[in-house]
Amino acid sequence: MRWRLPMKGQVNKMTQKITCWVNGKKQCLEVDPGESLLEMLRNRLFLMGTKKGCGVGECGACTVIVDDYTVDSCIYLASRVDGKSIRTIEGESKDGEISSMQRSFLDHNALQCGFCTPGFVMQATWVKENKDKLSRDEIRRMLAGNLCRCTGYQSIIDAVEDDLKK
Amino acid sequence: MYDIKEYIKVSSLDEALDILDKRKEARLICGGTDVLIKVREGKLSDLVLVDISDITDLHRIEKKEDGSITIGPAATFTEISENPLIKAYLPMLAEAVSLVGGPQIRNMGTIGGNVCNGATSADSATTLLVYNARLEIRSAQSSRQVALKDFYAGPSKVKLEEGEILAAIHIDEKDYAGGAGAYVKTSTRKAMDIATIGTAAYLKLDGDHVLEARVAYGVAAPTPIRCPKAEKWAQGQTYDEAFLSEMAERCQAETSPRDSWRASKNYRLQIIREQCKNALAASYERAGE
Repeated sequence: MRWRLPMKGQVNKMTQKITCWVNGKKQCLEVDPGESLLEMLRNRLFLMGTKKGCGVGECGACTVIVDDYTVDSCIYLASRVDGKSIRTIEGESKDGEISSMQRSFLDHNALQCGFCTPGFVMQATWVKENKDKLSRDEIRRMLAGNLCRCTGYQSIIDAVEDDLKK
Repeated sequence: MYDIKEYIKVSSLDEALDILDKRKEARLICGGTDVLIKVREGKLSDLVLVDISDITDLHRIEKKEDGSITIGPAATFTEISENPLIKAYLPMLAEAVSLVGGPQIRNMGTIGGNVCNGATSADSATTLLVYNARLEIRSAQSSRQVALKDFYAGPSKVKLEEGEILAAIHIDEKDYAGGAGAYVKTSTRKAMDIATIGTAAYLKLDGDHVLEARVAYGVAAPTPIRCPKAEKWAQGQTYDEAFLSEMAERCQAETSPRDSWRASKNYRLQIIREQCKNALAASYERAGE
């Protein structure tokens, strides 16, 4: 397996200057061609809310919104995000107030360790903003790309179902 | 951190073809959901990646004057499953691609990548096979058309030469109109899983008289396959329970599934038979609508 520690001594690499918007703020960065969006968010912008669960696009803990869609940021290259707009969990609370979806997760006990939660909240928020009148089964299908080891999912689906009604 | 030497985003197909032509070490990336996993596993290294995901032309889905439908290779599974043309004329394809992975993967993964990766389990490939899809392949110097059924060189290998890009997928009107199809996927998990067996079927009927029956399988052989002998027999038959049972046996005879940790050969053979019936029955229901 080829892994390298990021950010130190990147010599002889054709780095890329990119410009993107992260939670509404313009960012001009220089990224390594092999750097993932997840690494860029955590290691360069110090936005630690987005988590690395599996690193292979299976668990959804790294879910963020890029332009119009949710993506697994661990398998999304940082260079690809040039010119695009990214939303992470940090952007969901505004002026110190958590979002309605975040409140719903708290109210329904939809988290224990909380590691999967940012990914779930980003996916659920996207669903709320883009989908209409979903059945409980359809909600589950829309959350199928996010895994949780703690809750058993029912409280998460309750939280999302409840907030979608609002 | 992926072992990638250089990343180039291009804004036109010609630009991509030019780079592939001039730099032999260059490789395409679009959705990235297959390529990056291969990099992670150490199967590819020191890469020069040419990103074609932002070429608008390659996302285009359109119906031509002659009735044929063209699908751009960079169209994501989400784009395809929500596209009005696909839902109206190729509903089985919308159904199949909506079963791939989960929402995030469908937002990233593309039909071109799914086909060119060559996996026998590719849900879109099995479905395109039943639609008799034609592929338009382009290089810096030339352009050629090849039927999807002639595109496979072996397990996970497609007949794509150096410097070539899948530029478009075409489905003719005679192959999608007048009948109905269904895609059935059996997998261990309900989502985020590849097919243990995938079956695409298509029926054209005149009442209960079978004009045409097409059946394609994924993971029932080293590449996606059709069942030409069974399909030939089916022509002119009457659709009934006996027809379904007979088709199941005849289709199964044309498959060669293997034993793997995912499922034994015997289990796969059973799924092959049952799914044949299920997919044809679903097609029949839809044809009657």
